[in-house]
Amino acid sequence: MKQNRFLRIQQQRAKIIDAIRQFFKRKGFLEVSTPMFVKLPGMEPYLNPLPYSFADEKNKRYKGYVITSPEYSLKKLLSLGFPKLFEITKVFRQNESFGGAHNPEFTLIEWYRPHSDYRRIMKDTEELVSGLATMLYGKPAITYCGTKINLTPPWLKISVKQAFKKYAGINLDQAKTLTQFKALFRKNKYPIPHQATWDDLFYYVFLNFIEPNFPKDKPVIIYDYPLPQAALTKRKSKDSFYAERFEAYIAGIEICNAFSELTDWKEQYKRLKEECSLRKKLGKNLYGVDMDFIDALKSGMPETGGIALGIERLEMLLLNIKDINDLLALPAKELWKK
Amino acid sequence: MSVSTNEFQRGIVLEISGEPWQILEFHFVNPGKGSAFTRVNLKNLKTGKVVEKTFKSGESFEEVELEYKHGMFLYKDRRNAVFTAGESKERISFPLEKLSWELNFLKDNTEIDIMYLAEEPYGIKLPAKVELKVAEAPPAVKGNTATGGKKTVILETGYSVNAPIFVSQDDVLIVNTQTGEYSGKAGA
Repeated sequence: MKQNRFLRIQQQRAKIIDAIRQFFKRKGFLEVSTPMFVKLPGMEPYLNPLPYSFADEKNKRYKGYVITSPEYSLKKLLSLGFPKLFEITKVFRQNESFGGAHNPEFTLIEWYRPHSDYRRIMKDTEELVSGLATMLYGKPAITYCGTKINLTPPWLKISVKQAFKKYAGINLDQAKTLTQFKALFRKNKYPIPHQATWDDLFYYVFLNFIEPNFPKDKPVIIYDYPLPQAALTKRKSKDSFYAERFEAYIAGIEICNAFSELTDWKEQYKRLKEECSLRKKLGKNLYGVDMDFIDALKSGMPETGGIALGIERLEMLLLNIKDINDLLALPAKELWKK
Repeated sequence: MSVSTNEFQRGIVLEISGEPWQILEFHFVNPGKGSAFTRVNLKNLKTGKVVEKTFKSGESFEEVELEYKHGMFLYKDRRNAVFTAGESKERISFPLEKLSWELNFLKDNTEIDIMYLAEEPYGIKLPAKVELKVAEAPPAVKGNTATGGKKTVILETGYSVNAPIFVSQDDVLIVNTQTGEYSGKAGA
């Protein structure tokens, strides 16, 4: 009985991944394939890439990392003048749980639209997710953990600034620095986490007061993140504290992260160096900025909208599965924690 | 004693803003663009109120020291689960909804500990592992090893657990009461 269910889940996953490919191919996107093994992985200060090494035919060793995202590689292609493109690839992150909504390796789809921005990507996301539900169930709706969720576009949209004000009584315009943010915490009598960084305060509020209050019966797009939360993102305007990034949540699960891409190489280089020093401060493994990526931007990347969407999380939602270990064919937990 | 989120366990009691809160469930959340967080369902032992809180991973809390008396599960009726406590065999009962997790692992005469906070009994502590008989086991599907050779069996308490395919009805299984997972076959 359980075996039949397991096989059925894998069959449905195959159907979903086929439909995702068709969705983008029909819209004229080019499917590309870029390396999973790179010398310099993403600089995101809070991600922990997996070190990896191998040897060539003369037994010379090469050290690098497996990717946390194909973003740099795809932007290198976009800088060469590639048209709108997508990639479906495995990515790897460590120091995360084996189960729940996490697995050390998982599948990302990233897609990019040159000469466009995050608004168009929001539309793609709404169409993709509601279309997949329609393919499976005949209408743009799913039931997840007993709750009916209507996926009909357009989805509810709320800016990060509005959400902080509405759900937590915090005006982010007055929380631009760690000191200012801490002062607002004290005023609201929120406990300040141990060795808190600006990002920790941001997520403390987000996870305790905002995300639990999102409506349960429909998706939510939360957009325009403050600058410290948007390293690869274009600012709203030259001096704005906010950048054009959005995430979509369904049933409290974050399924994607999208930007109007930062194309200014100088600003990108500056932000990556800042992230590198934050990594150092946080005691993370250190590596340099990928200068090929910076050079690619220097050669000129058009204004672009781009996104990374977690395929397994989307599958969990579509197939009403609460734990990723019940979705994956061979979850890491089975392989490593027997 | 202070416990960090990495040492969280179901059932332990933390002092938060001067109140005793018991951990019902917890899981890891990592937004990816900030530190990892741990989301916990906590029950206030004074008021019974259940809340969800999210802490930065690595954060520490004072653990509330509890008193324990050895006891035994006697029976449950439609409303309550009844236990004996201590040498005096004093009878103590708790409403069923208070023990919804624990009852998955309790059969008559299971030895447990009754927990006391300031002289008041408020809950029970299960042994780390219990032995329970399989009431219902579907036959294994031959040649299917893709699930790691697992199937779902129903135990004598009505609790369902994933077990290896060789498990059959009337086998006695060892179950971890923290995770609710199969941990072995008794007498194997």
